[in-house]
Amino acid sequence: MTDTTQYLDDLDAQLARAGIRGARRKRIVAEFADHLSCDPAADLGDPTALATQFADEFGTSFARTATYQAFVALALAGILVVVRAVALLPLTANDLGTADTVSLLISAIAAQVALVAGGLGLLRALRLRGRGTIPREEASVLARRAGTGLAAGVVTIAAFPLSQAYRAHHGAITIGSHPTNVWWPLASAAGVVMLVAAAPAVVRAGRLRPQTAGPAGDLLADLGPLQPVATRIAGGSVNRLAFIIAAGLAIVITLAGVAVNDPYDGVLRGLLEGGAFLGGYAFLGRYLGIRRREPHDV
Amino acid sequence: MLGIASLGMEAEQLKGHLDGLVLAIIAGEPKHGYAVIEALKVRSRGRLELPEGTIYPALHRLEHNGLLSSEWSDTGRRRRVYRLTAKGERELGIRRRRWREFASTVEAVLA
Repeated sequence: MTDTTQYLDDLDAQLARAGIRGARRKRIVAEFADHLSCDPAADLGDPTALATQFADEFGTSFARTATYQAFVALALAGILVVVRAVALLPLTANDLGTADTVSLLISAIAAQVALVAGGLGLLRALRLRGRGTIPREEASVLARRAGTGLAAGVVTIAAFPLSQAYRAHHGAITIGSHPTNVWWPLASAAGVVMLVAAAPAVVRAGRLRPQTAGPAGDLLADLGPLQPVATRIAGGSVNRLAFIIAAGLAIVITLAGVAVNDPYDGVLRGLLEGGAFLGGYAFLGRYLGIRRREPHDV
Repeated sequence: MLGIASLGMEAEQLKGHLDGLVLAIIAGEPKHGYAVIEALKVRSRGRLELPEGTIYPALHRLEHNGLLSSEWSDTGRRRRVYRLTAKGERELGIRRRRWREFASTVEAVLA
């Protein structure tokens, strides 16, 4: 085995170890083979370091692309959700069954998860845009936020059509004959297609991540120029910041209820929204990189 | 043969300009990786000597960002040839303008 062959085999193995597979890996090895055929004495560098550099470059690009694509898909799907909501406005409570009500509740919660995951993903990507490459953990956070946003977006859109299908399957009268029947299925289908179209970029970002380790920021770091103010208000604690946001949310919704002369409903909805926010924070906070992982979690 | 260190430039400093240098080298005519490195050596009169392997991740990154396109060329030897895209040309123009502004500013202070 010649030195060149040995070098190319080592490079191929190191690229595979770094998560670079298939045609992409073959292409890199072919380019290095061409280089060595031009200059057999060329010092191309350590295969391990090169594979790490490729993984860092690809992983960073893929994570950013996934985040931006997911956000655009969520924004467009959000517009379609509004179109659908307008199309469903003529419906009354009599048109809906229990399954529909549950699906709309699930839809409302999922929409907020999609908004938070997609929005925070974009914030994190923008915050990191000036950096050539990002650490593995930051790329993981971007991919998780994009993936969670898309999944929650699909749930938001699909819940109501599924409940209609469920009711129709059990012989119940659905809104199939209602005038809204033209627009809401179209809007739902288009929204799901948009979200699914962004999924391959997220899968790619999940498969190939940077190799260089490094800490990922938390919610405070996501806030960019507002970080010093938020840090001062929350005393540097992300948990405290989450409580403050939840309390603010509850107060705003309560005041909105008071403004429409329904304070009892306002208080109830405020408490539910604040509680839901804290529940989401507790459940998804670490996974989405909103709060840091403790050393024992790593 | 002079390297980066002999120019008084840190490798990290040069890294910040690597994308611009590669775009400028490919702007003249499409090139494969080895030709990019050779052209870089010739045009810098041997004063910019990058670790050769590091050019390839840069080429792939620039292609992923839409600044370069590439295709296999089978003229005698199968090799990947890179060319500037319209976006790459615009980016090169921006980098050239920024560099001239920066250089003239520093020159004005140092002179």
